[in-house]
Parts: sequence; C-alpha cells; structure tokens
Amino acid sequence: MARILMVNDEIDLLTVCQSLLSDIGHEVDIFTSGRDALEHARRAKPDLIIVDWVMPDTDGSTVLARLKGHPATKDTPVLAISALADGAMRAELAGADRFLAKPFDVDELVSAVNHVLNRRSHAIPDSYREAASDD
Amino acid sequence: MVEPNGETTSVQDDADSRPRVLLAESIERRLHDIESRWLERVEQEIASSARKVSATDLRDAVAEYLRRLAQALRGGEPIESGGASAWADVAREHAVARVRLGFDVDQLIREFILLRRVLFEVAREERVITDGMQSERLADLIDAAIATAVKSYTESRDHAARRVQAEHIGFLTHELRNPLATATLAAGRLHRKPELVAAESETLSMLDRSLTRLREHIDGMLMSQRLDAREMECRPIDTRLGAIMADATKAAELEASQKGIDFRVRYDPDVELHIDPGLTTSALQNVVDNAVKFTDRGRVEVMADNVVDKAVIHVYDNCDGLSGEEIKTIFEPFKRAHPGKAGTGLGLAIARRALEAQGGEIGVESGAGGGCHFWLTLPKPPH
Repeated sequence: MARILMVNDEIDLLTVCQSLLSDIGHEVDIFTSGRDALEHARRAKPDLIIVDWVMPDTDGSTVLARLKGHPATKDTPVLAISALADGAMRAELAGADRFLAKPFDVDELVSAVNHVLNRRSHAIPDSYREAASDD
Repeated sequence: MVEPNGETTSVQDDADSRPRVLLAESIERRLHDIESRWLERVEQEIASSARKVSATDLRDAVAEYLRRLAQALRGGEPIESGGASAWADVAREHAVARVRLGFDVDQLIREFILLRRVLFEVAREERVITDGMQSERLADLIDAAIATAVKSYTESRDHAARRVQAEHIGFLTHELRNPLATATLAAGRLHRKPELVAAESETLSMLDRSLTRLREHIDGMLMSQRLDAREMECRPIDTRLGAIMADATKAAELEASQKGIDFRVRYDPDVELHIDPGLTTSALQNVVDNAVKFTDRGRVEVMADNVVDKAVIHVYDNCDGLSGEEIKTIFEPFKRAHPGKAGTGLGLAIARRALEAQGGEIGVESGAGGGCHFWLTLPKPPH
C-alpha cells in the first residue's frame, strides 16, 4: 500500500484513477489544482506523485520544479502523464521518474505506478540521459 | 539602380522605344506624387472597408514596384504573368503582405486598378502618352502584375488556411485524448468486476474494440498532422544496436507467439550506431509489427548486417506479397496494401520519414511467390 497524490485538471480522470488505484490497495488524494497539490504534498509527504503535464493553473514542469526545489518533496518519485507527443522527453528531462502517455489503460497505469514505487533509480532510459548531456 | 538600358537590351526600333523611356522617366520623377495620390484613393475606396490598416503597411512596396515598373518599361522583353522579372517579384511579395493585412482578392485587384488610373493621369499630365503603343505596354505590365499578385495571393492564403486547419486538427486530437483516457480506464475498471464480465462479456468487448479504434484513429491523425508539418525532430547520438532492438521487437514477438508464427531475431548488440534512438526504435518497430501483422503462417525473421559505414537491418516475412504498384506507394501515407487489416496506413510512412531524418534509408522487395523483405539502413558514428 502506498500513499499517492494525483493532480490533474480533469476531474473524471482523477476519480477513475483514484478508484482503480484504491481497488489495489493504494490510498489516493486527488487535486485539480497544482498549487493545492504542492501545499498538500509538503505536509502529507506522499510516496508517489502523479502529475499531469498540461494544466491551466500550474503546469507539470512548474509542479515538478517546485517539488524538486523543496526539502520535504525533493526525493518523492514523480509519474508524469500527458497527451503531448513529446511529453515523454520533456517530462523525463525535467526530472520525472516515469512518463505515461494519454490515453493509457489500467494495466499501463498500474505497471507505471508499481515501476516508480519499486525501481525508481532505473526509470530513466540511457538514451534520454545521453540526449540530455548532448545539449 | 536604374539604367537607361532600352537601347541595349532589346529594341530594334528607337522610334518605338523612345516614348516608353520617356514614360519610365516621368514615373521615376513623379514617384512620390504617384504614391501619395494612389495611397489617398486606396484609403478612401479600399482600406475604409477593410479593418484599420496603417499608411506604412498600405504603402508597402509600392515605390519599389514603380521603380521596377519603370525599368520594365525601358526593356522590351515579353510580358508574362508570374514570370521571374523583378517587377513580378515585387507583385508577389505585395500579395503575400496583403494576405497578412486581411485584404480579399477583390481589394487586391482594385488596388492595382487604382494604381493604373494614377499612372495614366500622371502620364497624360506629363504628355508622354501620345499614341496607343506605350500606353498598351503600360497596361499590359500592370495586368500581368495583377495576374501574378492574384496567383501569389491565392497560394499564400491556401497555405495559411492549411496551417490553421492543421492546428485545429492537432488541438482537437489532443483534446480527444483526455476523455479517451478516462473512458479507457473506466472500461478497464468494469473488467475487474467478475460478475459483470460474466454477464456482459460481449458488451465489454464491443466497448474495448471501439475504444481501441478511437485510439488508433486519434494517434494516426496526430502522426499524419506531424508528418505534414515536418515536425519530426531528430537528435542523433552514438549508441549500439543492442540499445534499440529489444524495444523495437518486443511487441511483435508477443503478437507472433499469439499467432503461432516462428519469430527469430539475430544481431550483434555491439554494432555502433549514430542514430536518434526514439525515431529509430519507432521506425523499426513499425516495420517488424507490420511483418507479423501480415504474416498468417510461416515465419518472421529480423537480422542485422554490419557494413563498413552503416548497419543494415533485414526483416523477412511470409505475407501474401506486394505488387509492383504497391511497392511504389507503400511508404506513402494512407496507402494500405491489405485493406482488410486494421491500422491507419501510416506506419511505413512514419518509418521512412523517421529514417530519412537521420540519414538512413528504407526499402522493400517482394517475390512473386509472396513474402516481403524490408531493409533499413542506419548510419554509424563518423570515425
């Protein structure tokens, strides 16, 4: 069982992910605003944060930067989700532990969550590291 | 910049060229007068009906156009619309600028008509138009400029319209992914209720099939839009064959074992490459997935050759084979050799674009007895 914080501006997507992850024993707090989510993350120190890359108030890269910049959340694993085609590259370069492209199915969601919770250090493919150091 | 070159470029008959040179000289002398008279009328008759446009924007390239027109009057070369002459270039640029200002084609033509009127007024005042000949040449030049401008205007407007359309498609497909993600997950949750799966298995499969098709169409639309916009970004790095092969063949291997097809992969993982790993994996995956999709019995074989300056990956399958016509078009978007099979018809087009973007190539051959051989070349690091 893990405590997960999920932030996304689509309330239906949040609700269905909350139900699915609760079904397999996780405890999920959901937020539609990046700002509220950050505040909660600092207090509650969740085991995993799932963040949408495109949100109206505070976007994924800003949320990620603030998480990494705060002592309470700098080591919290982050799973980024996005419908953007190049979202994977952007999210992983920005320091997300894993990326999930929308639309995804239940198995993809569960396996991404487990992956980040279990094997955090191996999550970023070498190709992206090399591409990043190339720049 | 203006050389009196009437004598040298063309003209056999001085008596014929002389009045044209006079006309050209008076246009040059009265250039600012012509420009301001024209501007006044454009503001009265055209710009007032369009949205507010500044005089600087309106004036645009008119002075330059008049200079070039004078040059063309001196020369005796034939007048064609859309030609490569200097005045045609100005007309072309002017038209593109007018598209940006929101002029319609009627306003564009009326601008030129007003300019013609002012030019003839000035020519009469200067008494340089004495018979039909020179005025005819002036009128012809302006008419040709109108034709050139209208052609450029239309092209530029169509181009802008296509760009807006591509942006709309991009936005729409992107927005569609959000509700699709929710629907896919909601359907997934239903699958986790055993009593529901037992009672409604057919309904659930119907739901799944429809969601899968929606996903394929949305992905295909986004990909084709990106192909159109030539957005594919390429970042080659030094890597090894081993870094891409497993990812590229994983899905096909699973599919092959489900279909009961023999699937073999042979390669040296240490072959050095200079490629964009993401683009190359996606290109190879498209080809290998296709091979398994179109092979119903027999085998699919993937093997890598190490040549001096490149690596060649061969993909052999036991599909029904391709006709000569199909081979010609198979790498074009939306060309599907086997319409019965699912898919967007974009996989191979994407593969080709992805490989060519990094200096690789893709090709196919197919024998009469069926089966295809696809080959992909991947560049090596420049040593």
